[in-house]
Amino acid sequence: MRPRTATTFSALTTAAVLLGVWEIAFATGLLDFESISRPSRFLSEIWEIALSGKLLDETVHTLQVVAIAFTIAFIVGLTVGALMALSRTTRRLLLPTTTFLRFVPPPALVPLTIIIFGFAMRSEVLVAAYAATWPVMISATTAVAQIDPRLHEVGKALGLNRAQVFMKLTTPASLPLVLSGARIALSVTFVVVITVEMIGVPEGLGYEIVRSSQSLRPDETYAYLFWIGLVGAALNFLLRRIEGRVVGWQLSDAS
Amino acid sequence: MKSPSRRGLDLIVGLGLPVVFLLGWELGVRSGRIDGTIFSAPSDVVESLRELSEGGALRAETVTTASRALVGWGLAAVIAVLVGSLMGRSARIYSAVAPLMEFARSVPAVTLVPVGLLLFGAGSTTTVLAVLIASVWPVLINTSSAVASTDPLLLDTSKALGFSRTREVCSIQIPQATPSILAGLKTSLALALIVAVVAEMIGSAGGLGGAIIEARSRFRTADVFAIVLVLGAVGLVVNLSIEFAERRLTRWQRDSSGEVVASS
Repeated sequence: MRPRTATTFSALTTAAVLLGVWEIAFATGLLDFESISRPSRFLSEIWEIALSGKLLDETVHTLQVVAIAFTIAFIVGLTVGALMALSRTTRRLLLPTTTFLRFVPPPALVPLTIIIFGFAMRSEVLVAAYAATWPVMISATTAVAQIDPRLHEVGKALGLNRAQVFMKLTTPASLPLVLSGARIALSVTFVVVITVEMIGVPEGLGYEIVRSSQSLRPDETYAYLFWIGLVGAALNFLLRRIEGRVVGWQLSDAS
Repeated sequence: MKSPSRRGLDLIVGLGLPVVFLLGWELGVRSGRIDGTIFSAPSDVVESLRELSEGGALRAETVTTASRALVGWGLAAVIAVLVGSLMGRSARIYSAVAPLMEFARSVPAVTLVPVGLLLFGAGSTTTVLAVLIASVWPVLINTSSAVASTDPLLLDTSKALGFSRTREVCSIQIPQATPSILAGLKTSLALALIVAVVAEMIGSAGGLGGAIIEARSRFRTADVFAIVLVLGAVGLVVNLSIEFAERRLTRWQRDSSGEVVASS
């Protein structure tokens, strides 16, 4: 493993070089497209949108929906996933239905939720929660199913009852997989919320990027593109840190 | 291993739930307890599915969406395997590109649709571009990490045999990375379909995505349900075929753990 600072340094260098080449190519007129912005322009555009307070408002809206939808997806996915892993009857009842529903592209549901709930936050939450439930559910099912059977024997030998086995053995043993499922689910939630805002609900960062493109303002479009990328990257980074902290014992255990 | 009759029974039990649900829905609409203009009755959805497929319109839209998704995905696959092999072989390229890739990956591919609209307008180009960018990451990441972790013994062998670099990549590293590459391709094909639909919805660019937006703006709820159903079916077929292809293509892998397998 290379030291962190060196990696960060080389990444920043590459980023700076890329942005520099982009800026110079367009500033000198070497490349000339009216519909493509350049770094100095979209960066100052971000600054202006931020000063007007709009950037914060829209970001808060989007992240708020992400938080609500993710929480719902996590609870539903975990419950149903664990039930499907623990009980054969639940699995038999639900498997064909979930297999089909899982493959319906979530954005396709947007027109339906808009007909049902209108252009409201509820539509966003519902579609995003739907999309994010599957990764949680699948990781929960796999996590519970892959637990070493010897652990259950240990539980029996220790005279634990079912509730104790679930709390003391099943939960910690399935935590790492569940968390990595949750990380995937969170990035899915973010993408889907942005998508719903782009195609349906006129609010948040997703709507702003489409609006700016439709009013032919490339600087604004690129500004939002860049900003959405930053927010997404920050979310990923945060979740990796949390995951590393919570299941750190597992990793050190394995090595 | 489950016996066939057992699996049949499981399927019947599993289908019970949706059947009960759909029957309840149908009865609810018929008796007026559920608003049929918002929650179209299943029979209305079937009816509009039949109407839409008359004259082949539905099929044409499905083909449009599927071919856009496949073209973008195919281009992404070629680019990702090429770039991924390069990244996997050179630690310097890898460390320069990997963190940037991490950032680029956090940009939802659908947000590139407005950028594409500015450049190319609504249509196939914008859709294919968004699909390409969405599908490239899973394959790229899997290829580069699999190529980077090629068994050193194999690399020594290739050196001993005097293989050229190209030959080493093509006949040793890429075949060895095939299972990972396939896993990436599988993830990205499912994504490709979704992104194609979204791009069509944003740009109202025809295909199933454009059709669904049009149906909604005319308040043809049953049509919307019908197209969602078609999309689910397409997604299911795509995913089942990838799983099938994956099993066929990596069959040699399962044998290679044991003795040497005669190449056929």
